[in-house]
Amino acid sequence: MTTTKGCTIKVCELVIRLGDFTIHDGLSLQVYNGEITSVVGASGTGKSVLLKTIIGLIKPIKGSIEIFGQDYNKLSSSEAHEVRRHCGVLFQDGALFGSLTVNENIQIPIKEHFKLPQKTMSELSALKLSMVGLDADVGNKYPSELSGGMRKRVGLARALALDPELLFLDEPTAGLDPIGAAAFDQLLLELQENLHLTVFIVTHDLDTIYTVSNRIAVLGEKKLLVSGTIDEVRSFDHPWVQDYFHGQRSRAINQ
Amino acid sequence: MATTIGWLKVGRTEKSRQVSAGGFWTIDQLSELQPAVDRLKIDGTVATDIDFKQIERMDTAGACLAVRLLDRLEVKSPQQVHANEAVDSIMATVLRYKRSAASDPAESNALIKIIERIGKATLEALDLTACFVVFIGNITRHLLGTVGRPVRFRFSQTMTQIELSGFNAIPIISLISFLIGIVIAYQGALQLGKLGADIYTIDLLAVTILREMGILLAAVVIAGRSGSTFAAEIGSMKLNEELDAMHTIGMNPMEVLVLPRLIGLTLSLPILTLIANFFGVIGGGLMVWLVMDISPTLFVIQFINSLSPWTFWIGIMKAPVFAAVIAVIGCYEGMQVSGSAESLGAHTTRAVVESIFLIIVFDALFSIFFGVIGI
Ligand SMILES: Nc1ncnc2c1ncn2[C@@H]1O[C@H](COP(=O)(O)OP(=O)(O)O)[C@@H](O)[C@H]1O
Ligand SMILES: [Mg+2]
Repeated sequence: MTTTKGCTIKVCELVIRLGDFTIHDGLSLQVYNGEITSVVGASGTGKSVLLKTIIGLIKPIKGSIEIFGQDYNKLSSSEAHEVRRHCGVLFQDGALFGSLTVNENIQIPIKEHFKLPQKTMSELSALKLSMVGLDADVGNKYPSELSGGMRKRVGLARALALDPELLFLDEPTAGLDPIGAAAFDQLLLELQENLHLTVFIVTHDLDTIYTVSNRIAVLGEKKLLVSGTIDEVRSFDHPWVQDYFHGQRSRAINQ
Repeated sequence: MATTIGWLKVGRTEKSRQVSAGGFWTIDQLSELQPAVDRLKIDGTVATDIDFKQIERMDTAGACLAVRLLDRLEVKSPQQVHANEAVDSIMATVLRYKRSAASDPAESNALIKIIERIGKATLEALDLTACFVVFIGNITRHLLGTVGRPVRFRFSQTMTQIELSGFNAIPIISLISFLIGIVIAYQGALQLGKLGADIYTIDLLAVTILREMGILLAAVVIAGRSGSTFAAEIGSMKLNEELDAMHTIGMNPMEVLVLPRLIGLTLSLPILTLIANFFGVIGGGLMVWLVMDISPTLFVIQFINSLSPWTFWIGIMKAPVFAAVIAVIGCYEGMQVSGSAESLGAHTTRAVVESIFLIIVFDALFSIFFGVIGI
């Protein structure tokens, strides 16, 4: 086995099939310690599926996945529980628990893993809520009473509840207003700096890509097309990549 | 990922007090660190020096606690705190976002709470009744509208509903009626046998199955099967904003969802009742033949003699009414779903419980009605 030092996530020769449809065929990808890696690709290229596979929700047909240097598929359930404790996940549509209030949603990972007084948990959930830019009175509402963008933010607050070392974000800024999205980028940078967070982020937001990413991975044709720094990826010779980084929207940002 | 512990120490010299913290100030350690922080004695008389330099790792939860520690010690000047860069920056972040924790809603006293709940429940009940009446009115309006403009009638959806709610329920309803037929015949033979009136078992069977049990069994099974399905289907569509989408496309949920289910079920249940009657009688006949040794021919003769002209039709007549009750309540409860999966579950349960309850109530009303007009 090759050394995995410096790698938080290491995906090797992954084959994923859902139904009769092969979504990834020999995909390899690395996410390095303390880096923010953005995963881009056309809609339907399997970014969300890749994320779910890495966190162990979808079983690959072939290939290996290592998180924190451990092969996820070989872990016992208590070890997997411990790994989960260090991962925060924001799903594409928030995936909040509809029967719990926002505060309870944020506190539930803490309750699951630690035994802390209610006051401390309220304090922590209030802090997380404010970090993602929501007012304190949102805390007593139910997810069905929130807008899509607010649900996203609550999802992020829940993902941050345990101060994870590894954060998975599925299109975190989709549905946020540009100011909120910019604040989100800043928060991400700040957390990365303070907590040495490693972030795996699926996004279409070119602003996010340019502001926060240390590394970009482009998915396409059922595998990893290219990964590297922004400049490396931008100069990669592939029609989709060229379109993506040199299209109209991208030009507007570069000006 | 291996974590070491976090610690908090207090030492004092003549002139000052020394509070030092170190190790891992992370959420894993919070349950140990927090009591230590809360136990700390506040002593305003001597100056306090705080040393955070030995903290190896601090996350936002740890920083939160550190902020509370500073609050408790009433640290005013930043010179008193010595920390490393990492701790400084995470504490600065937390301080920036931290605000006084949201105050929980004020606790009112128990009596007021009870009164409040009674009031809320009453208003809710009134509201629900009003909603239900409006719903029935809406259905009627659309039903009449469809009669006026048959083009709008969703034929294929209705056929699908007949297949799903009616056709697919045939096996279970047949089996249950067959078994109940056996039970009634056996008990009848046993009890009437004591009087030497065994032959009247057949009369008992005919009246019980045709007038009451056939339709009741079919209706209860359908309430459990289709009532819950209607509520869950429409409810999850509602949660998913599919009903709103329908409205914007110009499809009316009443027309697309409710009417096909209502009409489909109203057509299916009489036929299911017929099937239930048939298998109930077969089951009973079999039992009579085996236990009392009454031949099928004799059974048929006695059976036909026992029937009044109305017995059969009374059972069948109830079917469309019960079907409408099940479909309307199932769809109504589905439409009432809002917010969460919990609400979906609650309304699905209510759909089944309410429709079975109303079926029994209507059955009793029918009995009284038929009793009064004397058939
Ligand atoms: N549960 C599933 N069963 C079958 N196919 C799926 C499932 N989930 C996603 N897919 C397919 O996998 C592909 C990738 O989906 P997804 O990862 O959600 O795309 P995206 O890159 O936009 O996030 C799509 O073609 C989708 O149709
Ligand atoms: Mg996706």
